Amino acid sequence: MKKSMLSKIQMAGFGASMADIALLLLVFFMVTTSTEPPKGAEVELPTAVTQGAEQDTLYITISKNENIFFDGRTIQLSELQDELLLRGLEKDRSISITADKSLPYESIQKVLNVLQESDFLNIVFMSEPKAEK
Amino acid sequence: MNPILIKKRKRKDIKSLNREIKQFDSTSIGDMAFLLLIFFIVTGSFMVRQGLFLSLPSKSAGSVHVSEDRIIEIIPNENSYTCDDEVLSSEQLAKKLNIKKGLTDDTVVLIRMQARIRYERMIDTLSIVKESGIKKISVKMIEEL
Repeated sequence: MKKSMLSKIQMAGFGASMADIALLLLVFFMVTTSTEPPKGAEVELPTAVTQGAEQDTLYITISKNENIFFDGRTIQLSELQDELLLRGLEKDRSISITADKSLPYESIQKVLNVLQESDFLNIVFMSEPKAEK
Repeated sequence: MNPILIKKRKRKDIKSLNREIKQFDSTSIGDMAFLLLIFFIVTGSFMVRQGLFLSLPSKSAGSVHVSEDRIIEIIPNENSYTCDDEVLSSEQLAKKLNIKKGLTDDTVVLIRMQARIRYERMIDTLSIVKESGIKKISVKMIEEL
């Protein structure tokens, strides 16, 4: 019986280069991917001319029914200050406020007052980027 | 042949026979890398989070005196903006800010937010102000007009 040509070809020598490429792609994906922030609640974001926000931030989410979530956990406004006090060494980190666009401004102001009191002064108002005209 | 030389050659031959071939199988590393790669492709998102940056004044910061001609006061309403007692649309406000910025370099925008006005309106106002290139922004909450 005649042996096919394919069976004669040695499938060797590809392993190392394949592993190299895979590792390269792996490093690329690890660097570029962003993990989903701990939101706690789904909110409808306002649109604005935005800038890319950094990944290393603390997250405050204010839902439509004015529930406050800090790093994914629901808390009362009075507890927020205590939570921030515990993170006293992280004052240089910015705080991302993800708030529902239909909320009255006063509920945002209350949170901003607590942040100012706790000396967390770098704020990012999370928003959807405005579509280019 | 010199017996010493023969002995030496024999020893060399034995050494070369005993030498270990240093190699390892990279297949498992490749497999692991591919597995992790697939994991990151599936779970990762390229969406970069976007936002508007604002630095709050420190609680110990003192008051700042700014001459009146440098201040632009904006009061966002539900569907318009009040600026210098004029009711403006977003486009009109953007135009006005650009004109004012051209007149004085160090313009300060004072956004007076009414308590019951939607948060979205503050973001809209901030967005217009930032787009005009004005850096100094102050946000203050006021009672209903």
